[in-house]
Amino acid sequence: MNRAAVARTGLILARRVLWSGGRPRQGVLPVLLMLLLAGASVLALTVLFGSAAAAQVPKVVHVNLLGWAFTLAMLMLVVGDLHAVVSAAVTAPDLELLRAAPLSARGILGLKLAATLPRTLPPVLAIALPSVLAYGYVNGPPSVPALLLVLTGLWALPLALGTLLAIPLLRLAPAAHLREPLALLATLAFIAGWVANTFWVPRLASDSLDLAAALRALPAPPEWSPATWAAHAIAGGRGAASSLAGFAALVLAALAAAAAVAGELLEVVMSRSTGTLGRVSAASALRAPSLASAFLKRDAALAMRDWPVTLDALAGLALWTLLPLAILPLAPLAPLSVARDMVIALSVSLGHDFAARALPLERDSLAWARLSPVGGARWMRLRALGLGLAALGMVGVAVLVVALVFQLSLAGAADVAVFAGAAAITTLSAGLLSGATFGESAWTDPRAMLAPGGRLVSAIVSVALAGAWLTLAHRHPATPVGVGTALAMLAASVAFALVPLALAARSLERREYSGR
Amino acid sequence: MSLSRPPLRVQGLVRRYGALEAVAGLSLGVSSGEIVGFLGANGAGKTTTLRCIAGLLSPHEGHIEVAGADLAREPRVAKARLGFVPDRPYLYDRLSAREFLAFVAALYDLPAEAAERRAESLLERLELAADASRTIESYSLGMRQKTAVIAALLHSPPLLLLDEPLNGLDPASTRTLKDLLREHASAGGGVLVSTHLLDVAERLCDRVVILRAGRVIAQGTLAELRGAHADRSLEDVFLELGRDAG
Repeated sequence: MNRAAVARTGLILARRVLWSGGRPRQGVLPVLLMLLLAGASVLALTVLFGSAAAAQVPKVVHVNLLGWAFTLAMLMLVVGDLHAVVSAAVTAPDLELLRAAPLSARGILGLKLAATLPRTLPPVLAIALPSVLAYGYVNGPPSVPALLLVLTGLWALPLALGTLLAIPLLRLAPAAHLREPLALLATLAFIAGWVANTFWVPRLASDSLDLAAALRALPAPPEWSPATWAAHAIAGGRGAASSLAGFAALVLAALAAAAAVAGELLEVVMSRSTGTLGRVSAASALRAPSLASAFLKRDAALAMRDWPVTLDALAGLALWTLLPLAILPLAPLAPLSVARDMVIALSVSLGHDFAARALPLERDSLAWARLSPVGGARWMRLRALGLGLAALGMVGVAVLVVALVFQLSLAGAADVAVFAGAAAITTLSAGLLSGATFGESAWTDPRAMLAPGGRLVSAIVSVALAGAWLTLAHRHPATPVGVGTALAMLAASVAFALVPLALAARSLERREYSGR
Repeated sequence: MSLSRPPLRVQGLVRRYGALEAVAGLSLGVSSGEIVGFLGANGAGKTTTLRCIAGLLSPHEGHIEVAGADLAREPRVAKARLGFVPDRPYLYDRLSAREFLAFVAALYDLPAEAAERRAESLLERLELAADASRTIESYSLGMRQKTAVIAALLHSPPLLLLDEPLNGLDPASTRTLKDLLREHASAGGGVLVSTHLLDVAERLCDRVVILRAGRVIAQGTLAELRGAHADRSLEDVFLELGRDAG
């Protein structure tokens, strides 16, 4: 293999993701996001280590903190890398091409894993490196060889473990089935880790907490953990050399084990790429009585079978609905106001998590909107119908729950339902337009069904619409709205929704399928 | 099946991708009962032409009429009169073939019972019935191709467009598909099939249209293309035309 030529090709491809045709491409956004996360982590951890130093916490506690940061990074990396390995394995046509070439199994796996670098490196750069920088800023810089070895090892060790773990998982289910749940798990792990670092850690440094006592009470990370060895290697002093040697030996052993099973992994992937999957029940007969029921049946089947997407959206729904409760202690509100806020916050998720994904969920099959005599406008209406019915159910449950929890009167519950319905109609329609405009048919990660910029736009639009409804809700007294106001609100939201729905339908009508 | 108008009439079709003119003033027709082979080297404009006719791409110039319906003026009527098998089928991976075909039947407003009978018959003929309750994501390339073929034939359209339909099909399925196309033509339908397999085109097609750089460089029956040299194969003709045009 001509390694230089292969590396050059990889670099050309990577460069075109970031910059092509004289302008930045969508790949720039994740890089900027990662830099933002890394910056936030550096700040948060510097505050923490600085506060610990000011409180004269012993150095061993600093090393424990660093060990826990590395442990967190490694756990996230293992989950993320498992997804990266399985995703790399999914690209079967590419894999077939590589297998047909005169390359060893180890060579092929090496190429595939090198291609995962943009996805596997961010946790190292956003969590582990900031931890070292913050530690070094407060406690003195680590030795450069130790730093390079630790960071390389923190990247390589989880990747090797991911490769080893992928084999039993791929024996259980085809890569195409594993990929999406693992993507979801990886994203949630990364978000959880980042939230812990950026929000939880600075709170340790708040005035109301005895930081020194809290840090002294922090248990040491397990001695046998490679993350602990890495932390000791960075800290320097007595035992640092042996920790570094142990860490390096473990990394090398894991890489050797991964290389040894490379052939087996490829065999498993190839044999499972079109393996038999679970059968759909025999009740799935061929009849479809009407177009609307055919759409509803299809939508229900897609929602059930693309369950990682549905679960992710439901998790988002719950988080957004509960968000107003998080600010409740800061601004005490009447129960009716809180209930309104909660259902309006829910509408953000309906727009961003549900509606924006509705069209990309159909992937390339959306071509039937142009190919069949149904037409884009009718297709959009039918998609909106299914989405609206699902949203109606979710909004209904939410209204019922908040009405019971806050012991609202019937009029109060109706008021909340009106706010929920009006807000949901606007965000749902805007979400559908976001999906039609920015949807990615070749998505593999349930959280990345829209182009990176599109995700941002979708979130901003949904939040802005909800913000407008929140403003309206807070300007209105905390008493139930009258029938006239309720009707006006609903009519206004429907009138608003017609515009994005028409634009989304036009986008479907005009979307081209060149196959290029 | 509408027999009074020719299944396809294309005049002066132009389609550009930026500065590249992929289809440059192409005109062609398919008559009832006719199977027309659409030949050309890679990048000649075959797929772009088929996608323009299917309504997946908008032409920049030209006129397309499907069984008497103008695609630009009456897109829904025209689309109801054609079936398209793309080179990479548009299938819902998370549906079973039966569920997918039921959905397609609804898109074309077919009576449920008739659609069910037709689909089951086609599933049997293409030996897909036993797997038709499995989700499409588990299908091989050939099985996906068969599903797309059934979806295109389901509403018995006057015009059938196929882009490299034999990709991934085993010999038995290839034979069945050829029989189905011949039956479709015998019933009065028209078929426009793009293929690289010249021997298939030679045996299956009544007429061939040869494309180069988005333009028709030759068309006619095999006998007409052979001209005075009756012993020449389609491959000889194709290569010679390629040399002449180059």
